[in-house]
Amino acid sequence: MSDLILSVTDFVALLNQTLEFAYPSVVVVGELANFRVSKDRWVYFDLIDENASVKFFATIHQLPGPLEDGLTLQVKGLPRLHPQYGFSVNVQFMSVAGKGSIKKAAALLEAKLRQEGLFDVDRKRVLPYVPQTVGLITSQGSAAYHDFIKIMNERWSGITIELADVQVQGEAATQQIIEAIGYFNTHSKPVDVLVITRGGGSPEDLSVFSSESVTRAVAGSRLPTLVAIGHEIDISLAELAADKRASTPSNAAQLLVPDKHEITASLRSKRLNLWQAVLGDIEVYRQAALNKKQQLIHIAQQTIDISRHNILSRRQTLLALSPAAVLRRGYTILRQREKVVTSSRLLETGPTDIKFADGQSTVYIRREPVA
Amino acid sequence: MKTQTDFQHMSDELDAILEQFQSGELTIDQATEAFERGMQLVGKLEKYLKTAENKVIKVKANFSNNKE
Repeated sequence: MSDLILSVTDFVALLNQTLEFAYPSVVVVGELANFRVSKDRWVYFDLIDENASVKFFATIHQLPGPLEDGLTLQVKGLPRLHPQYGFSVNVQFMSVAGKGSIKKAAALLEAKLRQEGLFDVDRKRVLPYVPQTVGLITSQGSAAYHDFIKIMNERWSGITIELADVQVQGEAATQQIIEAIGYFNTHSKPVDVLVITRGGGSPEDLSVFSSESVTRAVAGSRLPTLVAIGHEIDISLAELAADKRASTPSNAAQLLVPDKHEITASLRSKRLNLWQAVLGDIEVYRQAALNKKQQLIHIAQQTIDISRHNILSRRQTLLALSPAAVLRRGYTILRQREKVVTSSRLLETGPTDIKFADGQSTVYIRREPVA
Repeated sequence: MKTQTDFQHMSDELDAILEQFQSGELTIDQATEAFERGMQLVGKLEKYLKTAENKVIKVKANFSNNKE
């Protein structure tokens, strides 16, 4: 069999076909080197280890955030031989890998976004309390979803929760979460608050919520956001950009709605307050009525007393002026021929009635010479 | 009462009634009326908390590479 003789172009095409057949896509992990961005659009870098170095090509939109040489990256891509520039892997998806690198990349991104003001406290809005509708972005099959719904049901009633079922880790997660945020923000009937949550996981699992695009989508949401990612100690950049952060999915439900048991207890105390208030009011009015009654009785009594006193005193006066009272003091009334003798000049001889206080005598008056 | 908003309105009205009582400016007729309304509100609020349920609606929109 003779050797296959190819043109350069055909060789490149054949090699690419072979590569495509053998490696539809590859995932390579390595240290980032020679990272550079061209024309704010094209990204060139190498992944290296102790013995080898491979070139990669990406667009700026595929970057998980600001990068610098030395970070460990996990890159999924298509190996290709470029007709002019040689071999490279065309990036389909890339993420920072390894605890140390994730931490460092997150610090770089955090510094950049903080500089832009995405985490500023004065950007934070107060969440509506209590919300009537909630847009929930999480994975329906996850413990986070079940914890959140369980606590919501335990604490409050009558809320409509619209669930956007998305992947919360892996390649598709970032785009799905961004689209879900976009969906709720452009919905004709906006929900009162957006809740984005997932449970704990490895730094790689949680890294979606520290990616630049998800963080920017959270920061750019017109709807108020509550973000709860992982456990208490995990703080993602999306949480920093959110209006409010919760430590866990359950904690998100706790922050979102009051506890109906507490409200029921407070209703019981309000019922008691109402009783006390109305009974208090009735007592005040009863007391006021009682006081008025007492005043009336007092005034009436006084009036009666004054009248009685007046009558008594006038009676005394009358009694003092009565002829009988005068007679009792020793005076008498003389009557002659039915007429009272009021003057010595009128005194005549003849029968005369003398009226004393205790009775009457009749005498005869004669004129006799005085001896 | 059907919605959370109704609950909030009634809860606010109940608090307003309690404040009126505290102000001590109600006539006896007003106090009686406010008391009856207040008790009615407490009953409705308690009933809502006992009977209402949360509702989960799954969004039908298709997100990229959405799992089925």
